[in-house]
Amino acid sequence: MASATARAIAALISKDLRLLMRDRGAVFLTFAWPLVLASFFGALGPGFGAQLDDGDADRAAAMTVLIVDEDHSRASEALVAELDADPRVTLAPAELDTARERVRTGEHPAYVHIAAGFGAAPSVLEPTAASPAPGRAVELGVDPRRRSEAELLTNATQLAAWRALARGLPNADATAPIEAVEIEFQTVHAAVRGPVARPPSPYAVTFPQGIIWAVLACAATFAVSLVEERKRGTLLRLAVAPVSRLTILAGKAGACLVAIVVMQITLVLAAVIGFGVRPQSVGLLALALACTALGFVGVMTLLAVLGRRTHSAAGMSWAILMGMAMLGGGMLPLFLMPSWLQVAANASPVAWALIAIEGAVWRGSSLAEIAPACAGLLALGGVSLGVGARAVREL
Amino acid sequence: MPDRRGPRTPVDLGANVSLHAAMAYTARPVLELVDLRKSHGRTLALDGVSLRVGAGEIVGLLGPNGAGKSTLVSCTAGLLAADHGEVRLAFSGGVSGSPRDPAVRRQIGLAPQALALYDELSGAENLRFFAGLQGCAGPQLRARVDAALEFVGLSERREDRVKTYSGGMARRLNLAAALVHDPALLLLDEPTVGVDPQSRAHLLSNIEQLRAQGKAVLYTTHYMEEAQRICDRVAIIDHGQLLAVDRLDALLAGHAGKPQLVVEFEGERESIETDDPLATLNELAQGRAPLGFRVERPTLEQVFLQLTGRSLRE
Ligand SMILES: Nc1ncnc2c1ncn2[C@@H]1O[C@H](COP(=O)(O)OP(=O)(O)OP(=O)(O)O)[C@@H](O)[C@H]1O
Ligand SMILES: [Mg+2]
Repeated sequence: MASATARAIAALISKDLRLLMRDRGAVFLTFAWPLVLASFFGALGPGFGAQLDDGDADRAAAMTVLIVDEDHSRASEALVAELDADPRVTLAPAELDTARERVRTGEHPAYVHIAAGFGAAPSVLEPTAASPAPGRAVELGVDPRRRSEAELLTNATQLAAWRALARGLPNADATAPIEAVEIEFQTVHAAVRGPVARPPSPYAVTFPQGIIWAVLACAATFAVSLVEERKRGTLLRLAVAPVSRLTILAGKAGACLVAIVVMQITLVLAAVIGFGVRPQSVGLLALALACTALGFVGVMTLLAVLGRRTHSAAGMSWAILMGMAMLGGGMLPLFLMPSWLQVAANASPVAWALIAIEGAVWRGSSLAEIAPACAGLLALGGVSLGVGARAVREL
Repeated sequence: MPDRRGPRTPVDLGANVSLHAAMAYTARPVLELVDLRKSHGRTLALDGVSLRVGAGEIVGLLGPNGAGKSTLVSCTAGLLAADHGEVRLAFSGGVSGSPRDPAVRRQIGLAPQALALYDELSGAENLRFFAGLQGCAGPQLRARVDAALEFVGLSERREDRVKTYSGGMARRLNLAAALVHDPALLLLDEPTVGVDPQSRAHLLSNIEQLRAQGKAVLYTTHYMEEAQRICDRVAIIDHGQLLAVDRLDALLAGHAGKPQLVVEFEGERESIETDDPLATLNELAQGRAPLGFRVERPTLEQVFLQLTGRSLRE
């Protein structure tokens, strides 16, 4: 009996997947389109996020860096003045502990620490007989994952240090390719999240979005499948077969799950192999993707049951899923939304999926941080599946 | 009107319906419908239908559009719950009960009136799916699919998508999908509707083969010629009521009147009902030479006309 049910489910799954593969429109929508979207918007470059982001426009132009000057010498003050003059950097003074804490919490992207004794140490222009002197050094506190910020700040600091030295020199060539100061990187593992976190690469943003799209498209495609079966007449044959309604639903859910997982794997592989996206945690990513898949399979099942009688009800499935996507940041990255909408978006399962997936890919979230989103998705899937299964006394 | 509502009084059902004969025909009914009633909203689609179908028997259900044929099939298959009455199924091997029971369902093969196939799948894929749904697997499944395709003559087109099939081929596959799991009872709802003569002949001979295999077949149609050709017994249904259930010859004898002798003479034609056409022809031919003659055997059309007062074809 159990094996007959298992066979029936296997038959249902393979039939639905075959039908999906032969429906060119559905294949395009679920497989090709997310790939195209993710690649295209990713290719628009690193500016993609910043340009759309008017609320953050000034920060995109100038990064606000905390400056800790413990030397208070002429040399340190000259360096600070030159760094502040750089259009890419805006300085905000702070104490060292505060600065470290703020970078760690992700409130600021980096700090520059000029320790006492900076001015007293010999500069690169003051050759000393006692050869390799310790020289002048500053400490940059930055999260190494924020490579572009670290690079920008390194360049800006070198340039500022050189200019500060050149001030005192007649006819100095301000572009001389000399390392004016030694830079010591202080690694700060920032708990970056929310609006402050910046993705390392545009593809790291667009591929999670592509995955969400694929999941929604799969769910929407399968949500209309019961009403499609009714239209074809094949629902009659399903209904006279010696299988329960639940088995038929399980077949639909299974097929949808397989389609979603295959699509997720395809997109992740494309992102990793083709576009150099490096998920920060493969384990968490797998968890996030699994929870997303299960959550939306549940939603699909409920929608399929509700929409099994009429096509208009089935069409509603699209509307509901797209609404979730719009609100949840599936169309526009969450970090680009105005803050009030980001709050409202927390109600959308699409946002939970994004929190979990982006958390694993580039936000550096911990398990504890994505757990609520994952739990929400699983609960949603379970509840929808349960309600759908109860509602379907007859097909 | 005689009481057709149940098996209470097997005798004395009047000339109109020889229910006794109908019920007594099968020693071991596979399907037994007892006083089925079913309404669709305000439409009374079935109004007290009782019927038996035995193993190795084809029972034709003949009626005009909207008579309630498909509703009867749906109730029998367990797709619709009857408002009143009972569907009893009993198969060899002790499987019996209502069509809601999965073990009973496995013995039912339904060919719905509307084609129920996946256009984007091939014929073989369709059958594999339906057989898998019935719990078949492995070599048994393959053998069943091959046999079913062979049976309906679609082996050569097995790997082609159904959307490339002609109407007749799709009908044949619709039948194959009903019998791929080797059920004991076949419910065929207008299996020949809208097909070419070639496919029709194929389908009819298929159904006769099924009878030879010992299957019970309930065959729904509004083509009298088909019912007349292949059915062991014919049930005539109109407005949800069974007006008559009997062997074909008994129906014809009871309701269609006598054979009609049509004789043509110079400038005139005579047509006479007679039990003995030869003797009547002899009488008529006394003294004048007929140019030609023919005997028209009674048809189900006349049975229907007599029972309902209207023609089945209208
Ligand atoms: N789902 C339904 N809702 C409402 N009325 C229905 C429904 N199905 C059938 N009917 C009505 O019930 C009656 C019997 O319909 P049914 O389909 O059983 O007839 P049929 O004999 O199969 O006709 P046909 O030869 O056209 O297939 C008809 O009057 C029909 O209009
Ligand atoms: Mg019908």
